[in-house]
Amino acid sequence: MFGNTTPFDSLLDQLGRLDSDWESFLAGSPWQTGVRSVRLGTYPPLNVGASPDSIDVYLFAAGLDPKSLDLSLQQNLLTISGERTEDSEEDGQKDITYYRRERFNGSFQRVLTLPEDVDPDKVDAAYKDGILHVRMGRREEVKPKRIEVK
Amino acid sequence: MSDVTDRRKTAQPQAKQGGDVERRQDAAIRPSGDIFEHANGITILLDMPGVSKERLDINTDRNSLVVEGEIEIDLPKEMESLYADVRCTRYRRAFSLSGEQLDTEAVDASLKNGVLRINIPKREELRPRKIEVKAA
Repeated sequence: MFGNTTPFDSLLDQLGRLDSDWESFLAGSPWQTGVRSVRLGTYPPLNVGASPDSIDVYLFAAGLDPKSLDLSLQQNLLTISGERTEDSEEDGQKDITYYRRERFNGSFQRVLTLPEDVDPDKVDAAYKDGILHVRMGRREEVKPKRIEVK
Repeated sequence: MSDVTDRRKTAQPQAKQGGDVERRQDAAIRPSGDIFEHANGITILLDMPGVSKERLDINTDRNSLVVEGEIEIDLPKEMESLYADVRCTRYRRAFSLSGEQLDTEAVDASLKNGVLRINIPKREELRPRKIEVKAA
């Protein structure tokens, strides 16, 4: 009689609420966050990794039309924006009743400050299985060099 | 990097060893989903970026539907993490179907760009039918 949620589901929802309460509690604290940081759970989530040859950004953005994506790299500031449009309409189903709408819908933008040695001329982006992978080369002069001892 | 809040490891793909996905009960991401009902059944959409068809498991029985998948990413060698929103490489979400008049034998699923679409049809006898009224 309380719908389709299992007790476990609603417990998780409550934990989610707890999480946002915790975040609003921290708002009053003196802890600092990055000026371009976003709150946890912002769509789309992303990971950034660094290797000696490249900086790699992985954007976990399922269901995008790669054509809607817009990437720009200005100095070491990477901006990724795009739009995700409603999937259910393509079904052509009438009389839809939604029970849950948790998936993000609309346009988004994320801005990242990368290490200063990214090379704007060596950028490469690919979209596969819902992950956008942006690989940026690093400038030569900062790569670790092997010094031979004579 | 103003974005750095944590320096824990980025998602590392784990090698999948034949069907151990169900058994492993470690940390997993609960994929966000849309669930809606229409005349022919219930459709579930789940965001599971990074999962390919080969690394996706959907199990149903009369009472439940369990979806599990593993993220696969090509990582360069010697990569260190600078920032990570995603800290797991597994997705898992379970739905209870007990008492629902759904035909779990006829579930169909498709995966496109990391979005999983599952369609669970209603049992044939329960689909809405148009009743024609004949003139007496």
